[in-house]
Amino acid sequence: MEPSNTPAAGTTAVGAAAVSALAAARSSAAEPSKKVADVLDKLPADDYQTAGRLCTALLEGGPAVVTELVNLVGDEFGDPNGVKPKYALHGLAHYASRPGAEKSRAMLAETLAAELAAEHSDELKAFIVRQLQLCGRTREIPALAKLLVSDRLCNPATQALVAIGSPAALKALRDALPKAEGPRQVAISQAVELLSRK
Amino acid sequence: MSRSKTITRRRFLGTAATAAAVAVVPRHVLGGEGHQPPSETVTGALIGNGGRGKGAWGAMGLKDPRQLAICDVDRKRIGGEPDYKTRFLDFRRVMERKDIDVVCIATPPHWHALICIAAAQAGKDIFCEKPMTKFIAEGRAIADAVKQHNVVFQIGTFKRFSNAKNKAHVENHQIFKHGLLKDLSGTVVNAGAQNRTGRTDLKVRPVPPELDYDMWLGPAPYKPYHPDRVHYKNRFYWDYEGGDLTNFGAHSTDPIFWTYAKDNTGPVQIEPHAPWPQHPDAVGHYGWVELTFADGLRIIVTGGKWDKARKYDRPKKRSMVGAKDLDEEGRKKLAALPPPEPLIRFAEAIRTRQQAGGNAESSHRVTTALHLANIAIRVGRKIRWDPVSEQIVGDEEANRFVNIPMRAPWHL
Repeated sequence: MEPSNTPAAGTTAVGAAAVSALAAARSSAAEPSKKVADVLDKLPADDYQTAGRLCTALLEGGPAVVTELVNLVGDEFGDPNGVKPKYALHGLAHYASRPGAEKSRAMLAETLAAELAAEHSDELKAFIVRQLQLCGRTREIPALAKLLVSDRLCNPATQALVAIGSPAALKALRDALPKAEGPRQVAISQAVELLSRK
Repeated sequence: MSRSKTITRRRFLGTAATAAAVAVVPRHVLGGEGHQPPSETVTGALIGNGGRGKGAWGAMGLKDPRQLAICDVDRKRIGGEPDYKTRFLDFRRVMERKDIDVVCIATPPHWHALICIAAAQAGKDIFCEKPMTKFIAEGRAIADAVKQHNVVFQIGTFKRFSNAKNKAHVENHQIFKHGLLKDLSGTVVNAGAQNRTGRTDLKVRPVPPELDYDMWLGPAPYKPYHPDRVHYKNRFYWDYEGGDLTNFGAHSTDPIFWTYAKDNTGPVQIEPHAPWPQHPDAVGHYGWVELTFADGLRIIVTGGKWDKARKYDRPKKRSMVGAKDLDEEGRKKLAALPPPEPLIRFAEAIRTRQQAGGNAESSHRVTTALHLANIAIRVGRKIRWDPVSEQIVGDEEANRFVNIPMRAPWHL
């Protein structure tokens, strides 16, 4: 079991400093474009038709809009400026995963997976991983598997890989297991066991 | 501790049966006026001593149960540091005590399944606060564990017991259970729930020293601490519960499942009406959700706080049915039916080793319907459910909410 009150990025002094530095570096970029701002203003919508139109408008912006939204979420957990972008990205993860929308889902998931390699805080990456837990498929496995070396992100990554649940996910977990120690070893072993049962 | 204090009900039942053949049993053991025999004295542990702790303990309805242990991850709630004799931080240590018959679980719902399963494996009877689970697969795992280990389970909601004694409800139950009325498409039942919401702007706060936050989170994803996420308000965050829809919705939906004979099945279609998208972390408003069953019954779970102008306004054609709705042949069949199995309370179930009225299977089915309502609200679309395979049909993403991987080292 992980030690009690496991410190995560954002809760330790070093983590907090890193997050602040990232946030400061990104402050100039944390203004939404007009197109995105117009949509964010209207979320959450009162009905599914309107929400669908708003999501479609964002998805039409392609990877650039998805990346913009990720940056707007912010690196700090609970950033008040990140509330609406979180609604938007989470909404997109659901909307693009609806049956029959494979092209949109693939674009969204691929872009989110690419963001895992960018310079974001662990908290922001954990948020991205949780969206991939919903909309990710086999193609996103390599990006998630890279997080298995991270003390903070190993657990969310294993959960996303178990949710995706393909033979490729099982292989990625097995490949990571020999190099894992401590709580990461426990998390990966458990994920291997869960996927082996399926 | 003397032997007389450590004897347990179940051990007594076993030894008394053997001894009865060869010995005269003393009066105080048999009970009678002024005496409570060991066979009726249940020993228990309370796991989760927060807002519902004392209430849940009393709600078990046992006669003078002996509370041998108390367990909570907040040291303030167990009176300081654990001694692991009577005061525990870790529920697994409670299960090691052989002299505990019953566990009363009043933790946040994201812990219910793992504690219920551990209790069943330890051979302890279970009283569990509602809602039974955090996600659907947990309910199946509990029901299977309860069956496998032959323990008693009762959920902490009770209105079904009064429905089962009400003549009109019993008649309705019989008609639905035995399929005496073919066209049920007009049957609409309202199940009310409140609709409080979580906060979307919680900043990171230091964990108070008395709280073992990692253990509080348990199987839930790691998120930084804030006092609004724990100790009752946890109900309004998706990681730990499903908001008032599963909280109060359990009280209103559970008796409906008995009255309409749905304890072994579930809805086949779930249609939400709510603002969208929902926040990824905090539970938001909803209007209502229509749960349609294979026989045409519709249960409408209503929130009521979203927008008064958007109240569910579909004409309510009919609620309860009775003999008056049947033809002559149907009335004859209804009159000839044996009465439904009586619902027995927790205390009697423990004594007779039968399943209680609010047992694990029925509780799983009720809670599943409410989880499905929340899944539909979250994904923002109509979903279809197969009550036999217990899978969402034709929607891979929605189906990922059925069995959510837990944070290691916890797993089903």
